[in-house]
Amino acid sequence: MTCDIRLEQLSALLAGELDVTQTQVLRQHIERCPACATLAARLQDIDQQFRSAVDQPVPPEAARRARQAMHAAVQRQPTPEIMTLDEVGQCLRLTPSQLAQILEQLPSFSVAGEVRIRRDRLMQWVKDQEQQAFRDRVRSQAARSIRMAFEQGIAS
Amino acid sequence: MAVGEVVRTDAMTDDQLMLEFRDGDDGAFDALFGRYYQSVYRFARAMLADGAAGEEVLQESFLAVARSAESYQARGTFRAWLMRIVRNRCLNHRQAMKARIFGQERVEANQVAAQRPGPLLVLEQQEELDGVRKAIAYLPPPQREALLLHVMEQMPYVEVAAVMDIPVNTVKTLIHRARANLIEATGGKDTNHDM
Repeated sequence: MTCDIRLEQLSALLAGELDVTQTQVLRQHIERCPACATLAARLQDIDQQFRSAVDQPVPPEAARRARQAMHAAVQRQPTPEIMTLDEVGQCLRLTPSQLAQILEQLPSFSVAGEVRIRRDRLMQWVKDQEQQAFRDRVRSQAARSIRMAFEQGIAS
Repeated sequence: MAVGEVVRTDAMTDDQLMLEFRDGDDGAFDALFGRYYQSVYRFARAMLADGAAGEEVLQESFLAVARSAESYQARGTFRAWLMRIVRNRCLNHRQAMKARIFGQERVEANQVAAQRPGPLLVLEQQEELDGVRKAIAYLPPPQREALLLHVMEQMPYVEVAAVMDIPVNTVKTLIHRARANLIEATGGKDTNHDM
């Protein structure tokens, strides 16, 4: 007689990844099958050994250093007046390749071979984009209204 | 932090804490750090077999979290997102470690580097390893990662899949193989048996 239960099924049982019926069937089988019961126990044992082997607590000094570094990092720094391209990309929620496509439109300057942008100039540029988009929407709506009025005039 | 504040942050979800931090509450970030720093260090140290590297990854990962607060999307997946950051930092460190070790002039490092799995053994051999630790060191990294996330961090398969960016079925296979390898390496019998 061959037991078809494989390690993979027992592994899934241990992981809680089986549905209620599968769990019940497999647990009932384990109660009747000494080999599977041994294997299931071995699985639990190896997991416990794994935990013991890798469970290394953070050394107190390392935790203290990390907390200090975090506190220093999250201190609210004054917003930099001069922005790098990375900072501009993060500000505008653009990927580097997207930013490259609009780079020529941005009010940038070069210093020591690096592209930089003044924050207030960038914000003005954003405001200009918003206003242009608004004007475009208004023009588009006006054009649509005129076209509809013209078509209705022709129809009548 | 006042007692009332501790109680408040303990009751908040990870997403809520991130959003609070984004809105200027540095105490919320401290609460997130307190919640996850052990898991981050434990995973990084196990992945890199080096406490100092684990500490570096711990700092780098939370710095990355802090920098991403402005664009954080609250989807109830903070832990998976954090561990993905940690995993990526570990992969970067591993690449750098391999480059350093293969460049060293120490004879024993070169000898060990010629063995499998390679550079990690150089670090592992500095400790006295029992059978399980040696077996863990010999696990292929994806198997070790999957088992770490599932067994140590008690992540369900679907969350492990999100961290490792692999299908759930691949996670099942990795965990099953990792356990089979550990059982065989530590003296277990054939894992497919006849009655």
